[in-house]
Amino acid sequence: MPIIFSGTKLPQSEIKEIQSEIYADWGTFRERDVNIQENHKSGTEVYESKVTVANKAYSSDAVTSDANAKAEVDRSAVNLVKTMFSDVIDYNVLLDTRFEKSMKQGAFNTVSTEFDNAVLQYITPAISEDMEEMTWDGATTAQKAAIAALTPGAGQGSISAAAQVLVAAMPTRLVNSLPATILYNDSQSKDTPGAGLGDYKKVAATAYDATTIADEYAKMFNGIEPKVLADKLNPPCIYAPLADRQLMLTANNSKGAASNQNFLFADKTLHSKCYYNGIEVKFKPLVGFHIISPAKYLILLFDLINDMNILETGKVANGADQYYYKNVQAFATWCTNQRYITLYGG
Amino acid sequence: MSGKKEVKKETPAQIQAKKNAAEIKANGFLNPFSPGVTYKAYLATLKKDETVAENLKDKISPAKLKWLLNDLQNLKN
Repeated sequence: MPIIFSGTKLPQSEIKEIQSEIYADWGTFRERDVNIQENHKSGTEVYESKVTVANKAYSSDAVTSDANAKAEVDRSAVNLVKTMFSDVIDYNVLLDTRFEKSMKQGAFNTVSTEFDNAVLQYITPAISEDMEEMTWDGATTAQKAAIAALTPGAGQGSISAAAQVLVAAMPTRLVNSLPATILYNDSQSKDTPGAGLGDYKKVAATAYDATTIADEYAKMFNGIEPKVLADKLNPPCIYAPLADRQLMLTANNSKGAASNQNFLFADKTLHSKCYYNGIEVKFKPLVGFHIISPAKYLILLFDLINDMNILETGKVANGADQYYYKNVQAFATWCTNQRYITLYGG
Repeated sequence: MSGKKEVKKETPAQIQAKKNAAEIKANGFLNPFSPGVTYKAYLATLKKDETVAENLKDKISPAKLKWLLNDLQNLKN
């Protein structure tokens, strides 16, 4: 007797696990790879001090004012930017899918616990990833315009044309990334206080691959102020683009008798800590730029860093069968002691 | 009427222009890698039809010249 079936044939099983996207965790917030400051609402003041003393010939006369000795304190105002991540979720679109099984009985009930557990739980990691990217790459429209308006040049004290190209290509965001802030800011502690080019130390950048990465790191290392290297309390870090790890490992494993291990990895694992000439290299989602600075001078200002993990959820009002989520942040980047920050590519 | 003469403070651009002029006088050319020298100021020192490579031949390292020519290309784009 033949079996007669009419209708659409559907697969009768499914892979239990729902494969998720990779939500990268580059550790800036968790490991506090930079100077994270909390408890600021809409804005804050950053103070920087600098004391200059003057040695002179001894005199038994009364001490008088010395124009060469200075105790400077500069105050810069930094505004935090309030931003949010939010969306509306309509579970009705999940009808006719595997998620139906986890909806409670009753036509009103469309919330899928499986969907919540398998998909929505990644909202927070996705926010965290976005915040990391915001920290290291991107600039506001105003910042992009200000940087584009700078007069470029090759030497110290001017921005390279390549840096202007990199900033123009940065994603436009509501908050400036650290490289964008280093390049242009209105700190009162700069040689020329107020809005303008940052006081960073510039190292000319050149495109590199695994065979030339060591040359570029040598340039970065030589560009660091010796005083920064001598500061045992605040050792500098090299904040490098993510792809550098691959290039470094490839460079270290290059074939041939003349191969040098320029980059020291603390262990043999893929995620090992990395050092160049004793300076820890921290891999961040930077694009084109490298920042060499003590962590202390790179500041992230927050109202509360845990805001990143706080997700308000609820049902949309007025009888709608939709749900919302909302996450609110107050955030800004800032840099201090700019003359000691080296910006490769700046 | 006071007899005091008003002293105008030089702008950073004026100070830099003086430095550039002093450098040209001392070295016979303006090094674009000198602090504060802008491309605009440097390119203005080139003679008619003179290229950057010609102007800086044997004056800066080949690596620096290569980088400079690349960066000037960015300027054009």
